[in-house]
Amino acid sequence: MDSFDKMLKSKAQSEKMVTPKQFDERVENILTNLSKKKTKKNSMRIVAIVAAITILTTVTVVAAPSIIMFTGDIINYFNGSDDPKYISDKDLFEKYNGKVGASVSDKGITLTIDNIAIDNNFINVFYTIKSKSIIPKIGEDGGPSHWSAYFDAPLLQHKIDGKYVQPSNTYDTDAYYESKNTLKGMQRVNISQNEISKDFELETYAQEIFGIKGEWHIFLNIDTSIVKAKTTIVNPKIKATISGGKDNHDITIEKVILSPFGNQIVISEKSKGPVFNSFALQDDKGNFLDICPSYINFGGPNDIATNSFEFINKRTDMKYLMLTPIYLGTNSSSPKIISSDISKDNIQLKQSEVGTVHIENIEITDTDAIIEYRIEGVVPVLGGFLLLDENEERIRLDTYIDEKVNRQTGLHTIKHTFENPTAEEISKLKKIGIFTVPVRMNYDEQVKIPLN
Amino acid sequence: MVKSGVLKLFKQSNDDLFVRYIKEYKNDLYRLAKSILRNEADVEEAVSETIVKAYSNIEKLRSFNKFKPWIMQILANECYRICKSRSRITCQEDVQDYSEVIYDTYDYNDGMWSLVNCLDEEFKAVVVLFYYEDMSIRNISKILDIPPGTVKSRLSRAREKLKMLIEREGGNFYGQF
Repeated sequence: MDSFDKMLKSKAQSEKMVTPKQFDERVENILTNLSKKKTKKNSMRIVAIVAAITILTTVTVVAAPSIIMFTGDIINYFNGSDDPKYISDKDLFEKYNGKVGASVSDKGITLTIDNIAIDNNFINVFYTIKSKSIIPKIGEDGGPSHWSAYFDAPLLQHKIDGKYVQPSNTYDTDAYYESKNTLKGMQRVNISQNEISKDFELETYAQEIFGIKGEWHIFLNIDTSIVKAKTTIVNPKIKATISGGKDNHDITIEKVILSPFGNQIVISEKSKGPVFNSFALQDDKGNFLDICPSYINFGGPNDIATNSFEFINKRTDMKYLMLTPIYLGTNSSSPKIISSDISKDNIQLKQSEVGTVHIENIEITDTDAIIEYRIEGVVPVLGGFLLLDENEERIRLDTYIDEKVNRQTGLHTIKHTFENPTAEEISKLKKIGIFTVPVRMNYDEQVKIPLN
Repeated sequence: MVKSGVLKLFKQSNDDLFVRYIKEYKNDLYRLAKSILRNEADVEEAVSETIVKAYSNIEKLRSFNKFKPWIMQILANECYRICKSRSRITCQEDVQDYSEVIYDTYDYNDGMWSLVNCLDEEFKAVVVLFYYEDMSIRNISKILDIPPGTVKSRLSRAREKLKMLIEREGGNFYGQF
């Protein structure tokens, strides 16, 4: 999953759709008359099924609760993969983690939680799944193996003190195969929208692994009282109205959390179509903060859509944050693509009047192109780089795009993996570029968020 | 007496949930049907039949958490049934009607749906389920009853085409002032 997919998902899920009136009336009519179609026999069968489910649940294998303390430990997850997505956070994860080692087995598959690293923004669950039979990989052969692992990694779900943790927009997964029977994974669970105490019960569970239905539940009693992570949490509850498109956005800035694993601002809004997600953040010295791309939760009809936006910031002494709404636009007078020769040093690609991509390093081999860059100002959309020939024509080499960011240094890395490139294609690669995206800052509706 | 009360409560609660979920997912059902079927009447027919079949088989659904993929699967089957029952020859008139209906009934906003309509037929449902419905490869495979590898390869090719279409628009797809 890369920025392009995320952008398409975000776009698709924000599209308002109006169904034909005739269609709505027919559905309404069917729903009104539904109960007449149901027979008494069916109702009795529902009860029978419920009873059966209850029995099944009671025989499910459930691991005994464990108590873990956070003393720091080596996380083996990072030793088995060439290029884990969160390698730059390894030291922090090890500083604030606890060794677990709790397992549960069902249907020939054993789920083990190896380590858990926790701060106030994220619970990072490191796990191992061993299968008695060879793991049936989903998808085609070929491509980077971690893409298959990513698709095969189960969605682990979580409850904190019995309350379901709704998967939210900054969830993330990383995984790799250790062997044909073993998958190692990491799930980054966003808890910025939850209230958690120093002691809590965490239930981690899966109901389907590798396409096999089952019940894998692990209960852990977590004690974080000895963790001394420097954390800032404010609940400003600032309400603001932001102009936008057909409807204004009536947002509430719910929370800001600065913690070791990341910094997040939590914004909510009553869902009525597109959700407010285009803004820039500045610190109290006017420096723009890099906002990490993520999915957007649009919420159901009439729901409150709550989103956490992660931003990169090394300072912990900020007095306030400044949020400025931005508008992305089309401007036919500006160039569509901006590019530079790959042989140049210190490449700067100005995406808009307010944002530039600084490329620090480009490494091209016959299998991939790895580009390291930093963001200056506001760069809201960057779905990978364009690989171009000397005439700025696109060379379509890239099939897979992986992104990661070093949260400690702000250095981004995008890796374009090629699929069956010819030497001729590689030799044509002379330039690198991005799309320009006009950005308009809406300073009139800036919001100041105190952090004390 | 207690059993009867529990039964009534359970049934009532399930009926309410069912209606609530259908209303919530109505537009998603419409969009998936539209990605498979060509004309409006067939879309209506498929969704209507799906609702009735789902309601009649609600006891087979073990948890309402799985309601959406479950009903999407019923709908996909229903759409394919209708496809098979139609003549293999598609009348040009039908295609024209279909185009008109789309433009009359959709509020495109920034036009992802218009891009989806540029895709070959075999890609549309996969794209709708992946990008609009945020479903996993595994779930899409189950819903459309095709191997996960086929889902992944269709998705990959559709993705390339979408990229090309967006680039043709010069990146304007990203939004508008």
